[in-house]
Amino acid sequence: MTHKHSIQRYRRWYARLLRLYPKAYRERFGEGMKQTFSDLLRERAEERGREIFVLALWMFVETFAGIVRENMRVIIMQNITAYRLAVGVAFAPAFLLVWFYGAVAEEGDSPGPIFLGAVAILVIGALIARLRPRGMTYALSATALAQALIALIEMIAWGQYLELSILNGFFIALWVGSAMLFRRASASGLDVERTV
Amino acid sequence: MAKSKSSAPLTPAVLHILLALSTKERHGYGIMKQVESDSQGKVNMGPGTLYGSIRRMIEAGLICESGKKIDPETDDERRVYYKITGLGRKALAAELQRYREVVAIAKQKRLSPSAFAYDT
Repeated sequence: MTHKHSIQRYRRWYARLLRLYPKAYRERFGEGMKQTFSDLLRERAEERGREIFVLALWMFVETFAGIVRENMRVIIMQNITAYRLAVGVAFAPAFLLVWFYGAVAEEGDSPGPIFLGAVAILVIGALIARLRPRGMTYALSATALAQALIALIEMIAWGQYLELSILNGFFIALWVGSAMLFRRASASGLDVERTV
Repeated sequence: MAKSKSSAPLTPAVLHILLALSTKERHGYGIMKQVESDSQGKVNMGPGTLYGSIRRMIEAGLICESGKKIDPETDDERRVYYKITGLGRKALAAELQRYREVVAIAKQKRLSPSAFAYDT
């Protein structure tokens, strides 16, 4: 009886996860995926008692990989020069910030988690936007805003106005540039198919 | 077009799904169980991989949906069943032929799985 309730609960969570698939895919295969998910959990519960959590977790991760694949496929199928460029422009400062943070932390001189605040906003924004161009425009705009706030906080805390202005200005320019490219990709109709 | 698709090498997941559907139509869970049985548990697919493969196979014309019905062995939910198409049978036959040829070459060279054991 407990298993039945657990399976129902996991199935509800799984249904939420399936919302991240492109609409056409979800409408066609979503129901079958939920049924298969429940079938596998039921089978595991009958065979091995309580070990259904691990299986559910594995299927969540495995399905999430499928979600990324399907969304990327839809994006790649479109005319996406602007989109690819936007991803590249967004990735470069994110990579630089993470790399620089790691390098500085390794020296035992951690600049504090606030340094990665903009990257965190970008990751959260990309997840919410599900990588759709219009949503990514907002995510990158929020990232640029976060970078500006971080710059302000750093200047108040450390001084060094010129260096921090140049450094953060560079990152802000890239975030804004990426947002504009995502906006262009959105205007070219890339969002139409991906409306969820 | 169809000929080139049916003779192209298949991924392990696609091969096993075609094998599972070669005897009868099945729903997603049924395919999974058959694949698990055919591969003696060596091929384990989750729903994400299975339905991603099904989507690609439908688009390639290897399988198709055969309707929605209740499976009395599981529960009272209506399920989508999938079946192999003519092109899918050709692709499966071509793949199996490829495997036979590889095995024949291995036999000619008197190779066996133990020949590659790295027991230094």
